[in-house]
Amino acid sequence: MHIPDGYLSPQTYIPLYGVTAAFWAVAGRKVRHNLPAKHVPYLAMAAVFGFLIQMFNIPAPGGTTGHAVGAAIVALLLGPWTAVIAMSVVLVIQALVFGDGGITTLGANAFNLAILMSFVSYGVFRIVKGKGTGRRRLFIAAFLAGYVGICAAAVAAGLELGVQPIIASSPEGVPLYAPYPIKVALPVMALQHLLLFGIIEGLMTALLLAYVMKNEPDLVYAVRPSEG
Amino acid sequence: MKSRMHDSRHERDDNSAGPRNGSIGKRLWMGLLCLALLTPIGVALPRMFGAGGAWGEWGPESLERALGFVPEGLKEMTGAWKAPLADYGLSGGGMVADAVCYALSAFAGLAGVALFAAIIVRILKKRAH
Repeated sequence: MHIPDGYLSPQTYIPLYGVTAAFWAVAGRKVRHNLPAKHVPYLAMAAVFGFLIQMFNIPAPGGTTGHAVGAAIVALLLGPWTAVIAMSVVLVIQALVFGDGGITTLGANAFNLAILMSFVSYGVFRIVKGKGTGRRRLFIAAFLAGYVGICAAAVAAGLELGVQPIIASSPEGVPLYAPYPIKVALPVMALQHLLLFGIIEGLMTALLLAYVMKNEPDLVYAVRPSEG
Repeated sequence: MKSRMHDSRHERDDNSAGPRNGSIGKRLWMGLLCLALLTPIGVALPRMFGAGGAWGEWGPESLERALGFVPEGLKEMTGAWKAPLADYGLSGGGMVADAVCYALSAFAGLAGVALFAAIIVRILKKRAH
């Protein structure tokens, strides 16, 4: 889901950089004022976790691969704004050092994987959890948080790729950037994640949350009563 | 929750202690190091099933093969940035060589991500006054 350079037209990646920059600015302020000092080291650990978990490529039917992202569990443990910073750190290093995801497309990738996924995951968790505190309720809420979160990111990436032939083709109708029509890009991205990677992200999120709830429940941002 | 009400002076004192806050921190770092050691699974598993890269992230050569052409704009922008450890050091060589390169990339990335995250947080927290 890391869109490489050249796949998005400037009329796509520039606005997405703008949106992402606005979120970065707010997230920076939130982390500065709201991240408790004792949680500061966890931001770096969360980022490292996201980076490493994304290296575990999993084969999908059709000869491609994918992987879990980790943004959901980070959003539940540290809050969505901290997750935005942690996951963006991952994407910057992946792009600059490993060529995984582009430089021009960094804004788009951060929008999908750091911003959208973090907030969708967190929102789904809060909604499904409701006022419940039972272990089963938390497990289901965390599973759905990961599942819906990664699927939302995949749909966003599929849309961004899929609109390219429509908005950026030569006068002869030859695509200039991502060449796949939206009726291919969107279903492929969505189905891969709905059927496989979403389940993996969901299970990972639920199991890790259960582990942290058992061992270090004070750490979990998403179950603090004061958080709305 | 109480800690959220700490004043920022207090936070900075805590900050200077760095990322070694007791045993839980140490245990988590150990877990992350183990995870880094296991990353070659992320190369071996796809290879067992003959799976390639992620959908839609192909290089221009693969596109040329699949489509018969490389989109103009894509050709211009692709490869604009030469990443030092492109593809996590994978060269399509032997399984063992690739597994080692991949694990080394994992450790390099672990260090890079941790350092960059620490720098960002330090900058953010410094401006808290």
